[in-house]
Amino acid sequence: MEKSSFIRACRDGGFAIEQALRELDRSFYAILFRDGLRTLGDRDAARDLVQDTFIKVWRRCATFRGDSELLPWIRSILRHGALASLRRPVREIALDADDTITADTSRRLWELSVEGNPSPEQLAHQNEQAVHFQRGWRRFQQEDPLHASVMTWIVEDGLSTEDIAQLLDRTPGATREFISQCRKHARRYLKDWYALATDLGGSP
Amino acid sequence: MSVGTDEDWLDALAGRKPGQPLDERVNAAVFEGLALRTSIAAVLRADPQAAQQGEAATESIIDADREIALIARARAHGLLSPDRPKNPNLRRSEGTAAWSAQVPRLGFAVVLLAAVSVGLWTSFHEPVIAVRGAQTGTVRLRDRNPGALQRQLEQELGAAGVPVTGFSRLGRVGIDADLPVPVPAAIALILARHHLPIPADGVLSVEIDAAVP
Repeated sequence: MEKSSFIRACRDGGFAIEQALRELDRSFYAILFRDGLRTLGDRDAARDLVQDTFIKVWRRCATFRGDSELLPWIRSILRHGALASLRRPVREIALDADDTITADTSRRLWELSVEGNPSPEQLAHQNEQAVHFQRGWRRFQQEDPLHASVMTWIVEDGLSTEDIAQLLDRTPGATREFISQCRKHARRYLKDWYALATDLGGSP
Repeated sequence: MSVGTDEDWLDALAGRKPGQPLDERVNAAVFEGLALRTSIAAVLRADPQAAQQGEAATESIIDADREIALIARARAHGLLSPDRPKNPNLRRSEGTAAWSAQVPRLGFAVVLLAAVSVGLWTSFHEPVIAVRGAQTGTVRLRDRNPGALQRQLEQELGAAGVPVTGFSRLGRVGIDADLPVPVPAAIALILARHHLPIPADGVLSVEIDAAVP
């Protein structure tokens, strides 16, 4: 759906909204459903989230200025809705005493982060790391979808601290704490992956 | 863990390049963020093969039941209330809002006046079209240049956002169009200009015969 059509329908109201709702559904449902499913992990909840998002889109359509594209704006509304569904009392996780990363681990992590021309042995290690990561990440998404989803959105859209504060509707200080929690939670759920990075090429 | 390193970690996770030079502590945060970014991106790339993506793919682009549910939900939220034709969330001052409440009535009056004016105007000019009446839902017009009138109708209704299909069958040209219901003022005006009645169900079918000179 073109944003000019959207703005026009918002201005015209009435039947134009009904038509535009159908058009929104046809244009964006699949991609938003996928986002919702990934975040909430439940088909019915994802369907409900997308329809609720479309309703919110029309309630707020007058605030869409057309500076950005339509989909990112709708996605941000979906994410707010998803976060509201996921929000629950946050249990603080005590920071590990040994939270620093050694120079060796740092080097291993660097190797994980860049594309290279790996040897068969390195390739096997990479596959093993990928398996550990996928396993840990899946558990992270299932058990702590709030932090995992925000981390996914950071990767997808390059969110800054300010963007995350806006998304979470939190103060800058609370947002920095949330980001710190993301990092800690990732370390907890991905500990095997981190351990592999530490142990790679050396004795366990 | 300092706030600074968390910010470096976030920047790396988001794909923003770190400033130079990096000390060892910042390096660790950046590498950690980059490695996570690479691995999360790989998971996202692999997503199409994942089961959940397969499920998402089963959600068709057009789903009548889904659309009906959405419209019903919008109606339940008062978005499509017939007595609230304008979006209630458009920000207006109170005075403007009060004035805007009269817009539908005013719009109707304008359309009526325009329709009467157009009718009067055309009655004093050489009639190029004549309504022969609507039979089985099809309106028949007569014009000296049916093709030109067909194109004009297509153009005018199309510009008003109406999907129009032109046709030529049995030596007769015409158009089929699905009008929004209720018919907006702008479209009603076009219909009035061409002596076309407003179809109750929004389905407009027009055939144009060649008028004898």
